[in-house]
Amino acid sequence: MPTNYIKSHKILVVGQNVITSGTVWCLGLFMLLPLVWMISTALKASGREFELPPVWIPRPAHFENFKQVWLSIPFGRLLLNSCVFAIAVTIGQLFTCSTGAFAFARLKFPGRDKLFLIYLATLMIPGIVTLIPLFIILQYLGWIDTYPGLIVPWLFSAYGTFLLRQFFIGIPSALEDAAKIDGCGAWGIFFNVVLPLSKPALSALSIIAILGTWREFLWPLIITDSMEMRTLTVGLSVFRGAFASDWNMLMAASCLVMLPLVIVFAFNQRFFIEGIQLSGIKG
Amino acid sequence: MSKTLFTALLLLTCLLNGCRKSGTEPVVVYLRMGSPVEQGIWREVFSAVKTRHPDIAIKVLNVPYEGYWSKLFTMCAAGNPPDMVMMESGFYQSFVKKNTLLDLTERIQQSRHVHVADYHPSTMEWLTVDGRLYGLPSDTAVILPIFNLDLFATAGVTPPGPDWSWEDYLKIAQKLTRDENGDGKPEIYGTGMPPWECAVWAWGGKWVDDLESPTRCTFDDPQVMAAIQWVADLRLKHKVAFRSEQVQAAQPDFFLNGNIAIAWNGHWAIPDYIAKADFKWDVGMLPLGPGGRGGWNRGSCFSIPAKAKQPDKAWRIIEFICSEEGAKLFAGKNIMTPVHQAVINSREFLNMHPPEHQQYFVAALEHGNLLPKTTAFRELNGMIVMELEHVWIGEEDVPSVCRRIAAKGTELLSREKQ
Amino acid sequence: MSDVLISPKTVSETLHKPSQKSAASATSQSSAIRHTKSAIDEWKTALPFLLPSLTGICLFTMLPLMASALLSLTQWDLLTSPRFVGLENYKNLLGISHVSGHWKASDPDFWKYLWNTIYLMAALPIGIAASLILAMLLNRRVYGHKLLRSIYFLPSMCVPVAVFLLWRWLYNADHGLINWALGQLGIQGPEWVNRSAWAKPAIMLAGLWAGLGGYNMVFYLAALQNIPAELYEAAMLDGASPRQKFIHITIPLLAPTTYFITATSIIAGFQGGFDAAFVITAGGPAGATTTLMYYIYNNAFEWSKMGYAACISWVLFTLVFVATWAHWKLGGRHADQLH
Repeated sequence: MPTNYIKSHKILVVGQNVITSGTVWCLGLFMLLPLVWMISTALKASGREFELPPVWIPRPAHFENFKQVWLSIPFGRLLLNSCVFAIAVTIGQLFTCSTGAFAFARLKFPGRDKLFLIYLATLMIPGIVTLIPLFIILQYLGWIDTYPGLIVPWLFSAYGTFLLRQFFIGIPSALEDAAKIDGCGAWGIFFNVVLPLSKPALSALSIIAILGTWREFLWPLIITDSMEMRTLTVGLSVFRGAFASDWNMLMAASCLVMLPLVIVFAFNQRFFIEGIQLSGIKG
Repeated sequence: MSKTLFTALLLLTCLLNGCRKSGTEPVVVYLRMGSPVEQGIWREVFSAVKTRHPDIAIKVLNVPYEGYWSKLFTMCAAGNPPDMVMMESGFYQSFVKKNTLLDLTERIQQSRHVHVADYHPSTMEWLTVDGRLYGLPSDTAVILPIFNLDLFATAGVTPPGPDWSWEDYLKIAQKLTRDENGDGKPEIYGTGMPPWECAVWAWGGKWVDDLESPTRCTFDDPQVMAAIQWVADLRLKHKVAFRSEQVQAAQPDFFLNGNIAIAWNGHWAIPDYIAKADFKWDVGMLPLGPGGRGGWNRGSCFSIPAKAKQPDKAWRIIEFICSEEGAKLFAGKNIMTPVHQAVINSREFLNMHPPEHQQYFVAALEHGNLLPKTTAFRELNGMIVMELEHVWIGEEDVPSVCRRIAAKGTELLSREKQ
Repeated sequence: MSDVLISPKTVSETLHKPSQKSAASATSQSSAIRHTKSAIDEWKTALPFLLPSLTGICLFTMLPLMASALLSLTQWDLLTSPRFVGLENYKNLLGISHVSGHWKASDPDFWKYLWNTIYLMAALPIGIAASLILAMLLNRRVYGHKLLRSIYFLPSMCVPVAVFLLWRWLYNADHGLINWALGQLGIQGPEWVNRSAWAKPAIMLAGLWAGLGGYNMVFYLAALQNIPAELYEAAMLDGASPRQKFIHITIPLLAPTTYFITATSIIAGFQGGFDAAFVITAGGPAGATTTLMYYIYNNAFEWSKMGYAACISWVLFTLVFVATWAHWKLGGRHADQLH
């Protein structure tokens, strides 16, 4: 009886697994379709992008579209700017958000929750209406068309602080108290207890910071003047004219803009997604 | 660790920042980022400017169209506009009426290189505000119907001559529309949606009571309603007009793909068609309506913001670009309808083929209609476009929508007057 | 996390590790010790931590924010100096008058776009639930789950403009891929973004696609992987069904994450619908996909009415603030052991 039960249970589990795997894979392929279409379009000849029935594998494949993209915009320079923007902002946010979140999550001081509410409130006003005042501040600082102008306003993030605060709050106080007994001050607790336990949260913040900067269009456009200071996402708009788009070029450029992100995330999946499970905040 | 890295990065960027500031202040030129072809022309033009005026350093801001006006407004709002700006007629009025552009009337009168008579008179109509000029024209945005001649040949339709009417337009579109598999959805549409503006003008309709100083929106005018109904019928009744995602969007993509036989587009699309079309094509003339032919009188110009730091140098650049010599540099690649008389009437321009009927671009200049000269133009236009979509998607009838547009428009204009 | 939420007593009793419950009590203990410290001392400790973010937030966020509040009291065309008009913008935006038996809003568009915004926010719970389900499925040993996670994450790496241009074309009524595929199955597809009835769901679908495997799924994956396996094992020994395990273990332990995700989604939702609508429909047809954010953009940069745009933003702020506050009262407090 019991063996029978276990056996049928096993079959049930395997069956369930097959079904869920199948479903998730089907949906995944559906998610992938527009992207496959994007790559396929990138390889098509000009004016041949809209054919029906759809051509998934263009023959001949126009790989020279990628070369054309590379030649039409100063790709290397834009890539460098995108990297500088993304890396500087990520490092900056990791620092400012983690210290700020530590104060909000683990320290006690009068007006803490009110101050945090103000932080949250800053997220509730659309960036479009604060854009011009911010631009005027940066102009006053003489930072228009410079890296500091591009980067510095992004180094601080109420969103990131909120995210880390939610993670820091879950760290058991017993660990904090143990550190206190060992003679650790607030900074000691921050560096020796909170940060090591929050690697997953910090990597989540990194993901957000990298993706946010990499895909941002309006800010780099407004704050920079010369092509030499722009980022890849802004450079992409060369292929999207005022009145018509070069579809194959635009899609080829989009693939190229996406590629560094894909590489970074593929090679660091352990860090970004898998890494999260290695050291979790055990509740 | 992250802290030191962060400081190091900041230091580095500050250093880079420091290195950038040296030499004389350049003239900041604000341009719409065009196609690679157009950018090539601009490089030629600026090297010619440098040869002519070696003392002028130029800093070009090539701004993508998506974000072009946002960035310009931001710079102006921050009190630090560029020295020279490429303007468009739709925005020009607002900038002029807010006193933010330099009055160039005297400079133009005194110039040895440019004269008002050099330009097609129609451009001066939209450039003149209360008798003063605040810019020199660079091009006109003429829009014409463009034919896929291969589709005409397959359907056995002869391309119409310049004297075709909107009635002919419908008949031709009906002949060109083909539903090969009989599923009720044509594979080939006779036409894309023609611009409703062209129809309104061709029916003799008027948007507002007075173009120079509008106070009332006259969209409830019978001619306007008849024209709108006619355009809507192309789509809803006769089913010969292509349905695009954004109802009024030009559909060059599906024209190039061979799904549309007649598509409306501007001169700027010509290089694209030359490069990409694998069929024979040509431009047609604006069709005749009950009130004549209806085209736009609009375009781009070069202006100097009132707060520009180097207006004199900027003027010398404009003076060169808009002179005969400068205009000829632009004409070479056939990317825009020229405005300089020396180019308009030149053999070089008229003999540039394809399109076979290049002269229609010049002919259309005579049928341009001015847009209302009001600072609220863009809001008015945006409101009309939005409301008309009720008609195009067949969810509301023409008279009620037009009456609503008239009421809303009048309210908008009166608010602007206050 | 308050102990109320971990309801099956058997589960919490079998736990040997420091639980949320003991963590919460430890916090209250240590805060009792700290209570003797003076307020100044507390600030002295906290300030060095706060300073880096506080300086930046004040200078680059708060200052422009205050400026926008002032601007909402002006008329500003961005070209000439702002003109102070008091509360006129707010009156023009929110005013409702009773004219000859009809209620007439002074800005009917605002109410229409507010409704559109709320309508499009209906996609939020769907998106959140979908990313939770997805995270749970991918958290199991599904065949090729590592590859799958990357696949679901890919749309988040695309540049929005390119992606939505692609969708615009997929949605084309006659020559789009979607209707072509439906046609092959013998189904006459709708006109998607050419119909007011279909345009909103179409925008929502494109948005869901772009966001499904994004941040939210990543946060949920992280949180799921942090749930101790012992809890599930103990529950299984007690004979709990998968449904019971989900309701009594997974849901409560995900509460802080869920709170963060819902709170940020509400904030983003009220400011949402711009990217997709801007590219796919330009806000049409007939304003059916114009959201408040789009309206603010149009006012600010299309029609150069920055004062009015700021005014709408602050009305929007009030709405979001009320929603966030209600959300906090409804569930946020329970997700936060400090309260």
